[in-house]
Amino acid sequence: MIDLHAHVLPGVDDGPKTLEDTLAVVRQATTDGTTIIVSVAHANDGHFDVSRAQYEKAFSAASTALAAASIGVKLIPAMEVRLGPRLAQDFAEGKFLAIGNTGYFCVELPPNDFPAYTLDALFELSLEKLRILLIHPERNRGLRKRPELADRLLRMEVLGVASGGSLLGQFGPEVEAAAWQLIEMGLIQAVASDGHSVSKRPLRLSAYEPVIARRYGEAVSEAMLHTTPQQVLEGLPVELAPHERIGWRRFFAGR
Amino acid sequence: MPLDLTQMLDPKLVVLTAPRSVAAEQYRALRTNLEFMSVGGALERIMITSATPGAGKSLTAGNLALALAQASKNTLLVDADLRRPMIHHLFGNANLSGLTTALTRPDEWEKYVQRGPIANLSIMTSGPIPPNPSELLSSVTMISLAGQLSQTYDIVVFDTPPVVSFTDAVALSQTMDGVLLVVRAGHTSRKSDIKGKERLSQVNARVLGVVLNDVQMQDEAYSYYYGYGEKKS
Ligand SMILES: Nc1ncnc2c1ncn2[C@@H]1O[C@H](COP(=O)(O)OP(=O)(O)OP(=O)(O)O)[C@@H](O)[C@H]1O
Ligand SMILES: [Fe+2]
Ligand SMILES: [Mg+2]
Repeated sequence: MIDLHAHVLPGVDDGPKTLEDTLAVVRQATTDGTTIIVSVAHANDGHFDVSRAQYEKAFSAASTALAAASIGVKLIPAMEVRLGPRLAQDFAEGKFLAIGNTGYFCVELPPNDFPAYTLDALFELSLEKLRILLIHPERNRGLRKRPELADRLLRMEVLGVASGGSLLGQFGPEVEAAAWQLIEMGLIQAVASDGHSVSKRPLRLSAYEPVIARRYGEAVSEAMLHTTPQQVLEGLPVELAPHERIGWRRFFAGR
Repeated sequence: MPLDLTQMLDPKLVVLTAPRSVAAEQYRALRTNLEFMSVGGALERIMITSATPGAGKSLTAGNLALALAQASKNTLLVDADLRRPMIHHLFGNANLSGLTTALTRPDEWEKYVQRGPIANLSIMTSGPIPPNPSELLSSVTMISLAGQLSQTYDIVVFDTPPVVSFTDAVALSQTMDGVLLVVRAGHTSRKSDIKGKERLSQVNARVLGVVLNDVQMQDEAYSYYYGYGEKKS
């Protein structure tokens, strides 16, 4: 499996603190069947703002330690960049990393609001030949209050990635409901662990497979956990087709 | 071995993929009609639109652009449908940059033109979708870009969204020398087609005629052009 989004680098954000922690979370992921991890660190966020130099240092330390411990996993570098009004300029100046050389760029909205400049800032990024990967949009309160905004993101071909924990209710019922809703409208096409630690926010993608399959069928869980992440890593566009709940139509038709 | 470009092309671009078909012949006839009409006033910027979605605008724009290029006209095909851009799919082009990039960086618009599959055909795909397409398409920059494009090329063909659903094409018609309305046989209702034509007439767009798309005859679907027979002095 491919984990499109997890915090595994030591000491750069709220992910693992030490190299030992890094080895532990990555081991957990590989035991679960993950072979590739997009290894993000928070940037441009009020609390965490990893620089490229810090990122690269932590990335090579982690890679070396993983190889020494014979943990067979491929880490792909990326930053999870908090939305701001001048992301495009900062990117052009080399401040941020996209996902490897896929041309996909991870953006995180602030948790509480959906700033007025959001769509413009994302468009400016896409003018830099980037495709936008919007990280856990279900956790943004502004988007939950105004579903029409999700529609506008969809029209701009922004690709949403849910955090698996949202689907399991880890962030509350509102976030969970929003995740399902955004999957059904087509904005969310993939699920990642957004793992940070072994116990509280684990890197266990297999836990999400059954909940997605139960609701949408196995073809959809396969797409969300395998095919779509693969397409992202190949730098290919992903079609934002809506997903339909199994038996939902029949359920209503029968009443 | 030369690259087989037709592999990347949508097979429905019949002017190139099935040049002997009746359908391809009709697109060439459409080209000839436009050549005649340009006697009454330059036709350097032509917009393809329809009343409702799915009429065959993009396919018409693509085939017409191919037919024009084959007649040695230096042709640019522009995807100005920022609602459902299709030209890059039809021609197998990348679309990380295009019209919207050119509009935000007008000094370097030439960088966002791609080569088409045959000589004399260049392509500007849509580029990334902006938050507000109609705003960008009705901007002053769009007017000046259209001017620069027609100075560079003999003819520029614009694919656009349907007029009844969006204001984009109506706004864009103001910078065009002529508009072709595509009607799909048996698809659109006459009422919405008339409404579409009205929207364009209200802003004094020069509607050159109607392309009747998807006419079934002898097991083949093709397009047929009806001019409005306008008399230009
Ligand atoms: N004459 C035809 N024969 C066969 N298929 C056709 C024909 N015209 C259009 N189609 C098909 O119908 C669909 C819509 O065509 P096209 O994309 O050209 O329409 P459009 O008016 O540009 O649509 P939109 O409003 O979505 O931009 C496409 O799948 C196209 O291949
Ligand atoms: Fe994260
Ligand atoms: Mg079209």
